[in-house]
Amino acid sequence: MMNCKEATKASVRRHEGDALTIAERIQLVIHHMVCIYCRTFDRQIAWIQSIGSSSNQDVEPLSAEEKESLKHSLSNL
Amino acid sequence: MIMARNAGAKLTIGHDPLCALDSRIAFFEEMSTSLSPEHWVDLYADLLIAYAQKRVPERDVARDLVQDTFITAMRTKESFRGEVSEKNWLFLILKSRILDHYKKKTELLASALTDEDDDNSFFNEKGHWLKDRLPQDWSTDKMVRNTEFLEVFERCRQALKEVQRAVFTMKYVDEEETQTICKELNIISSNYWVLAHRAKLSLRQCLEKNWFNA
Repeated sequence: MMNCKEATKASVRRHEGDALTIAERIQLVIHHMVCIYCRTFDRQIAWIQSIGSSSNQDVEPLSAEEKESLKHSLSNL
Repeated sequence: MIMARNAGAKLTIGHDPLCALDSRIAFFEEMSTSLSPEHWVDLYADLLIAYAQKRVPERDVARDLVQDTFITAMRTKESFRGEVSEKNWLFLILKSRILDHYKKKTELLASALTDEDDDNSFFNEKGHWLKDRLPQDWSTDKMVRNTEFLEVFERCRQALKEVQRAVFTMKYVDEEETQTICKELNIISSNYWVLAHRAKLSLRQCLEKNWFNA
């Protein structure tokens, strides 16, 4: 019988498109029938995954000093 | 007669544009390879740092990777044939620098991957959830993708351990196939799944703590 650690790992694999064996699939379904926590985990990581790259982080541009030091290191080549 | 003439005309027409294209490529090649490093920094440094820092959040490391990119570009300038634009060429160099950076980290971790000590912070020795790590139900009201949430998400992604973050970033920011990631980082798929599992556990936990229960 799959424990929670194995079930969550199987969840991760399944959601990333890795093919589970038939035995693993059956065990995961049975585990989810009895374990509300792994079922919650399964649902939540599917959602997390759908966000994946949509976050838009603002990166501070290089300062004038940083650019100068870059130019300096290139001119010394 | 007419047909033969046409054929001849076609040949001429078919030939000329090629010649023109060749000389145009040569012209652009000369144009772009003759650019001075001062222009590279002004034109591309901000674009490169934005790309690098999304993948390697430590500012000084990201800056070093960009500097390294320019240095490599300078040193290999002669090999630039204009197959890609100068900008894309610099990005290709930066990508390979980032990958090298990731690889160094995975090599260091390769031995640690076999023992699964890390998972002990989520599961007991029987593989059951630790009491204080049990996944809680999330309120659907808070499952929104607004700016505030995305900021927390980004902070949580950056807070992942470096190798987990590398794997997660390659998968979801660069949208690479698992197989490609394994090949590029030189890890076997079972190691990949250990890292992906840990990354998802940590990220989920971080969002729960800093967003859903905040």
